[in-house]
Parts: sequence; C-alpha cells; structure tokens
Amino acid sequence: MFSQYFGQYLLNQGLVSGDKLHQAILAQKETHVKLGVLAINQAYMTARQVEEVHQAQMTVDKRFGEIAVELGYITEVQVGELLSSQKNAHLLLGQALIDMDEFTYETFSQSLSSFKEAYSLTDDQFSSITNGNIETLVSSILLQNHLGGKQWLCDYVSLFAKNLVRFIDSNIRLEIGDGQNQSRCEWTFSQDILKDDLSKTVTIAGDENAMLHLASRYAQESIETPDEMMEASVGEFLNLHNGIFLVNLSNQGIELNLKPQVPARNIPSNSFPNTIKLNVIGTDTSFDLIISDLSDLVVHQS
Amino acid sequence: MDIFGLKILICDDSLLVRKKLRDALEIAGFYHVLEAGDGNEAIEKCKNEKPDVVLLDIIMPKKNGLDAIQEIKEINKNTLVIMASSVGTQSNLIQSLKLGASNFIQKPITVEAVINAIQTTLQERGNS
Repeated sequence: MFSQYFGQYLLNQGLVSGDKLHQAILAQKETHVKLGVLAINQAYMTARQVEEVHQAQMTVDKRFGEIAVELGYITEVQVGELLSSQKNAHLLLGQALIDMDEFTYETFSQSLSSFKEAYSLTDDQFSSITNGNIETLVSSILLQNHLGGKQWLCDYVSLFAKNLVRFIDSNIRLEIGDGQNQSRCEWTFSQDILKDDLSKTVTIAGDENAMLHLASRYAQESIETPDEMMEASVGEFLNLHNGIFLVNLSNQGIELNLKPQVPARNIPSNSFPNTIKLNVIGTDTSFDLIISDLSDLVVHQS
Repeated sequence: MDIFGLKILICDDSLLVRKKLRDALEIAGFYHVLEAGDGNEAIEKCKNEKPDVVLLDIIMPKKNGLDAIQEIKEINKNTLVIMASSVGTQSNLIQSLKLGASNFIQKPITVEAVINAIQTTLQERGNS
C-alpha cells in the first residue's frame, strides 16, 4: 500500500511523469532490487557512496557488497541483513525508475527524505510504514489532513484499508476528501451502526462502473450488470468490514450493533452532512467511503 | 456419521453469501442444501423441510437471526443452529448460545469452519 503513496508523491512533486511512473509500476514485476537501493533505504549508505561503489565495480571484478565493505561504508553484517531483507514494493518502484534512467540514486534518496518530511514521519515510523504497518500510514495521513487525535477514525480507516487489501485490491490508496466531485452519487451502500437509540451511518458511494469493479473483486467473479448480485457483493463487503470493527470494539468492552445494509441510487452528494469523506483509489476503480462521526458510539460504558 | 447427508439450510440476506456457501458446500460433498433470505423464511423452511443444520446470519431484514433461533428450536429442538455472522461480538455470542445456538462462525465463512462446527456439536451430543 505504501508504494501507491510513494508513487503518487513522486508524481505530485513532478519528479516523474505519469507515463514513466506507469512504466515503472509495470516493470516492478521484472525488477530486482539491488544492494545500493537497499542500503540507501536503510540509510546505511549515501547516494554518493553508492555511486562511488558502482564506479569502482567497473574497474574491479568484485561484488557491490565486497567493495562497499572494503571502503568502510557498510559492514558485512549489514550486507547480510540487507540481502535477506524484505524487498518492499516502494524499493521495487525506486529500482525500476533507476533502471529506466528516470532517477539517480541521489534523486531516489532525496525523494525518500522529502516524503518523510512531507508526512512528518520519524525514521522509525517510516520503517514501520514501509514494512506494512497500515495503522502508522493511516495515522500520518489523517494527521496531515488535520484529522489526527481521533483514535476511532484511525482504527476504522486502518481496518477498512486492511480489508480492502485483503479482499479487494492490494494496490490501493486512500485520500481524504470527496473524489467523485459529482452532484449526485450514482450508487450508495449504507449501513447504520447502533448503540441503544443512537445511530450513525457509514456509506460506500460511487458510480456504476466503480461498484461493478468493487463487487467483482469481492465476489471473485465477473459481475457485469448492476443487479442483485452487485448489490449483494458490495453490501456484504461493507457488512463484513463493519462487523469486524464491532468485534474489535467488543473486545474493548464496547458493544454496538448493525442494521442491514441498504443500497440506493442517485442520492444527492450533499445528503451526507457532518461526515468524513475518503476517496479510495484502486488499480482500476475509485469510490468514496463516507463516515459519520462515530465518537459518541465508541465511548466506554461506565 | 455421514455429515454430508445432513440437510443444511443457509439463512442469509446476501445473495452472494448464499451462492458462495451453497457452491462450497456442494463441492465439499453436501448434497442437500437449502436457502432462506431472512428469519421468517428460515422458520417457514424449518417447518416444511425439517433441515438438520441451520447456518444463521444475524443482521437480516424482517426478522434477524437472534429473533429466529428460539422459533427454529421450537419447531425441532434437535436442529443444529450454527450462527454465521460478521458481528461476532461478545454480546451476540452469549445471546445466541443462550437462545439455543450450538456454535458461532465469524465471517468470512469457510466450509472447513462449517464442517468443524457440525462435527464438534455432534460429538458433544454423542458424549452427553
């Protein structure tokens, strides 16, 4: 998931064009992350040092790791650690851009640093995110959009992101705000979360194409018409997600309930006042998640 | 006991869940699978078809799963009611078991979980 944010960041900063980013994303499957990129990512070596080792490799028949150790830039233990480390997706993307001559090691190194700065991330937080910690990523996104401090929101959105990755699409990105920019929502799927007499609604909204894509991915079969199966699939994904959220709250001593999910068509976009809107951007689709303020529901019962 | 000969009623308001679960059960070898879309339909099917096992969702329109358990057990106290819901909260777990359910499967449902739940309950009944 982080790879999607990193790629979008590079695009937004003008560091890469849309075409080249797309090419690099496709090239990731064939890309082999080299030790230089791994060393920069872990801040074991600078870009200048990596370039120096590469230059040296042209004159001596030795491996990158051997030369880097001889020059004192890295230890053998660190080489071993890097060689056995997980090849995170953003490193594949970075290596692909370097292989395409779109990036130098210096621009790759600088883009990692500026990303951390843009999202106010410590090195530990960045490492956590690149190793797949979705909570840390979501927390930093919410903070950047002045929505920090709402633990229930971080929990809800993090869980939604995990469920999207698990059931729908591993290449997703969440952005705060209404991505649809339409006066009406062609399709909505809403579900009420209840506590005694209090009821709050969460809604998935999007156009027909987006709902068909979402439904097909969740059902793991092609759904090509907006029929009962599409409604059932999108509705069940929302129901499953909300159900798991409620189970997590139950484990903290907070008991809530759900109503059946309700599909609707052509709902005015201004029908959702006092909500937080998230735009979900996936491989081949985009839709909105519209969340009411759940803070009154998630207080511990005294 | 040949559990695959048991008559199974899937009660869920989601057409997708009913279809996927039916397909999975039939591939696994169950050959008598029925469907219902809400608690009221489930009760009617229990009266007319006498299923051995009811896989019962909770959040449904018209009549939810928790409200249906008691009536299902009144029709036949030996019907094995297994809750299959996304809302596996402490409250729903306790309430469903109090009302007569034998087990609770948290969604997403797998056939393996269904088979385990049936076998566990039948074993417990055999031992009691």
